[in-house]
Amino acid sequence: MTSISASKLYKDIACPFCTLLCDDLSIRNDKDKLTVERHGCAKAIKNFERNEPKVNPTIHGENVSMDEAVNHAASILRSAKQPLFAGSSTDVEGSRELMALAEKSGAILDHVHGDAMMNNTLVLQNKGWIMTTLAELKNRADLVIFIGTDASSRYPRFFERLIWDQPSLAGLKKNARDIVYIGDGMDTRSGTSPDGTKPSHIKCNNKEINETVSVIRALLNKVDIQTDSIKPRRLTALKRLCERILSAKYGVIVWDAAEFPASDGDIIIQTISELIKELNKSSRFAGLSLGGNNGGTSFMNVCAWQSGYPMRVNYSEGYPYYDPYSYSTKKILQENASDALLWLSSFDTSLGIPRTDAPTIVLSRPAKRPAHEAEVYFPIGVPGIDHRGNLMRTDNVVSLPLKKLRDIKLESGSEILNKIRQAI
Amino acid sequence: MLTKLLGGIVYDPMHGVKGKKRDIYIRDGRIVRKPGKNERIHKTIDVSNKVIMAGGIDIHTHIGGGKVNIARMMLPEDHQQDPVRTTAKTRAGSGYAAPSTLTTGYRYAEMGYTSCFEPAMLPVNARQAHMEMADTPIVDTGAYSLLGNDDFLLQLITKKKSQKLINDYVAWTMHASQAMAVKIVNPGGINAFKFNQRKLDLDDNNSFYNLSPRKILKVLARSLHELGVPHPLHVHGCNLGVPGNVHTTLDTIEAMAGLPIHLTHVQFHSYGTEGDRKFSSGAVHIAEALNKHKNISLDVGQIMFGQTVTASGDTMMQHSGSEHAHPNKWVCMDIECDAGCGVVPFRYRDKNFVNALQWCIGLEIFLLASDPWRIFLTTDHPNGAPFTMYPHLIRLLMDRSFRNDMLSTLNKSARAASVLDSIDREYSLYEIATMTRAAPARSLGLTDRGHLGINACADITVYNEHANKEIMFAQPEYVFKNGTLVVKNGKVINTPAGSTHTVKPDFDPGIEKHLKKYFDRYHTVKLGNFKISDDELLDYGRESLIVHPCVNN
Repeated sequence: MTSISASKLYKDIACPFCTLLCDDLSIRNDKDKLTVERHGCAKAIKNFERNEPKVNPTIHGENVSMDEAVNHAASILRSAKQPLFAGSSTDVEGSRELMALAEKSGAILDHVHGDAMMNNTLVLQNKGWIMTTLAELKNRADLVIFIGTDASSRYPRFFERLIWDQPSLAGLKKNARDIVYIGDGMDTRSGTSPDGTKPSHIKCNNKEINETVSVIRALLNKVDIQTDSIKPRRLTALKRLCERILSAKYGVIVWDAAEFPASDGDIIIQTISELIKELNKSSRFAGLSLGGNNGGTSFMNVCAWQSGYPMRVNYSEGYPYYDPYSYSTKKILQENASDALLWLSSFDTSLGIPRTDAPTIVLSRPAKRPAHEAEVYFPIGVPGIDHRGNLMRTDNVVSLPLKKLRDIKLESGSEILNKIRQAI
Repeated sequence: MLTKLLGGIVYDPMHGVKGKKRDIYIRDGRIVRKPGKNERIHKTIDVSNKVIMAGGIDIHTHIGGGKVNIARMMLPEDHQQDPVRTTAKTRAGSGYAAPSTLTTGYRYAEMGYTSCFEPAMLPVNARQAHMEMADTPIVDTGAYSLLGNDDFLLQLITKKKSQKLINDYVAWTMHASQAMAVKIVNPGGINAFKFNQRKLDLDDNNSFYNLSPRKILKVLARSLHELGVPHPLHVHGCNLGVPGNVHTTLDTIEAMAGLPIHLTHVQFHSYGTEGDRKFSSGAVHIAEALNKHKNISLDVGQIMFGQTVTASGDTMMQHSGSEHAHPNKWVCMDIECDAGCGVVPFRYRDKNFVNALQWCIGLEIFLLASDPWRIFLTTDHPNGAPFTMYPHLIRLLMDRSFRNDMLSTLNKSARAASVLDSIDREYSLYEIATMTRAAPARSLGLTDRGHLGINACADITVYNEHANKEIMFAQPEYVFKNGTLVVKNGKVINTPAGSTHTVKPDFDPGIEKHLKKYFDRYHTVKLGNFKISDDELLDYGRESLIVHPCVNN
């Protein structure tokens, strides 16, 4: 048998490394070495083709058996008064196990992208919104306004798959989409249409976004604007944009909460959402929120269906108690309000483990120098590479199945979490 | 293991048993014949003079899927008032109107229900809906796939493709999404809303596809009938909540020309325009039509007073209703060329004319409908009220003086506009057993559920007879699921996983050629990844996958 026939090609594979979950990748496995053959963006190639270092579970950096590590982790959680589960980067099954373990050990749950995701969710809980999904964007949107994000830097295939891809059910012509950027520091190259039409760009810095969107609302609502507080050129550009907004058949505003300032991201998102609601009194407009990488969307949904709350839930009193402000990882660690940290990271190897004096349990994709501070460390497999699973997409609607592509004997995060729970 | 339930008073409408004293024997999860004299009975439970029915079946309850989870995320205040603690047997969670999955399973079981059907599963969101239901313990689940606003079907109808091809697509969707039945919501209207249409009457056209709801309804109703899916097309019609929609509903019934359909939460579709306030009860007409047309079944969608949340696929009507959101926050979504959803919290108030009359209209329909085999007890959870209000609703139906006492506290003009106080009827236990067990089982094609015959699944509820029917139905003494005792004295003591029910009609696999082309051109997921395999479904943690046969029509 030749080595080529020994290798195996997997088609229509879903990529778990950003929440677009592109599911058209072709990946070859040759002796458990993976190569992305089709439709891999740089992020996908880096992550699928990574050589995982061979590492063992450790306690204080010393190799131990899986059983010893499990028992040690269980003893940390058993004696902790207020454990914190952070990172929480995993698939649906991992999230379910994480919830069960949090309930059993009385932990607080947050996600590595909790600040950004909560800025969105606070708007949902305060005023609500009108949203759309990826296929609606691709098939219907004739005007797409990117606010504070260029989409392509963090979601590399966004334009290829959703903006310039043809055909469209609503009969949009190839170059017909009107692309507008609002913000600064954006890479707007992807917004140029196939026939070379350049997108419009209303430049303003991050701190001016809320004001800029508010001016759009005011103009559309025919509210007088203090013209001395806004540059004439910008006002002209915004007036022109309003005309395009009013003539659009199906407009979409795209944002990424992670790219807004954490301090007032919720305010900006609410202003955008209220603008969209106002527009829907007479025409159709919708929002598309990007975010929830590293399993964030999945974790938030599982947390919501099991507890009733999106995240930042504390089980220490025996029932889920929700506090979106106090239970941020950063805040808890700053205040030393936790006496054990469980960090779970299944996808992105560059996520930094927060520093704390509390004993730390780390479950992460194998790393050579895995979290030197971890009292207990478990190498875990990647959902969609080392084991099957499910992930949810950025639009909160589509879930995609993940496949096992190789067998390098890595246990899944959910299996290990389950063992720890049994051992408590 | 053989268990004997000794001396209970049995209500089993499937077998015409009306309160007869009978022993019931359970072995390996099934109801079995009386054993021979030499056979050992391992356990006898004395249920003398207690009321025995099959486990309850909820034919229409929003318990899983995207819009329910949006409701959960949106309403922390709903949960903060109803925290649910971890116990030795059960997990923590929260209520109330949009309870967590775990709490949903426990509360249904504690109320004597053993099967729940999610009526609005978007095929593109089916995976999430099934995963949520897999985290809903004890009860069996199943779901109805939403069709009739998906661009693929509308294209097929517009292009005048054959009924056969449409049937293949419907059957394929049921397989791909692991569905039990098919529901249509605001036919063509959710899609039309994406093109900025705000109203779509039965004979209006979706402007893009040039199709009327009448046409779409007929094609889909025929499809379900020809495929032999036991439950007929589950219809949430046009004009939900709009005064005057009773005519739309009656026209819809006429339009079917004898084809079977199920009209869901019909209370919301039974409004007239009489009176000073141009809002009146159409219940008499709806009940008359139901009594006359044997091809029609319905569930009521009773409203109850208090805070709840409405979650519907009907983006068009939810958007127009969003001005009434209480508290003032709401979500609408256009979804994936498949459908949409709208989530609007709402508080029904007994002092409000419209809400009070809605309450009366629901009860009028219940009480004027003559055949409990074709009318099912629902609150369209959580849209009319949370399912935990069922015992209260049962008391309203069974106890006329209680009903009239409640009625007398309502908005005066609403009372004057309703015939409710002139209706003497009280439901019997037999009729309640019919509309909450036997009838939904028969409608769904669950041949071994909803009754207590030999070889039936041992889903059994034992109630203590009580003059106050609300108390009686809120706290059964025993509930058995698949023969396992899961509830004792109204509290969960065991939490087995439930099964998933599906129906998988035959289809020509050639439909996938059309679908692959469509998916590759328009969709953002691959055809193969859209489909949920049996293994995948079981992986979520279900006891089993039960496939019910189609029937010859």
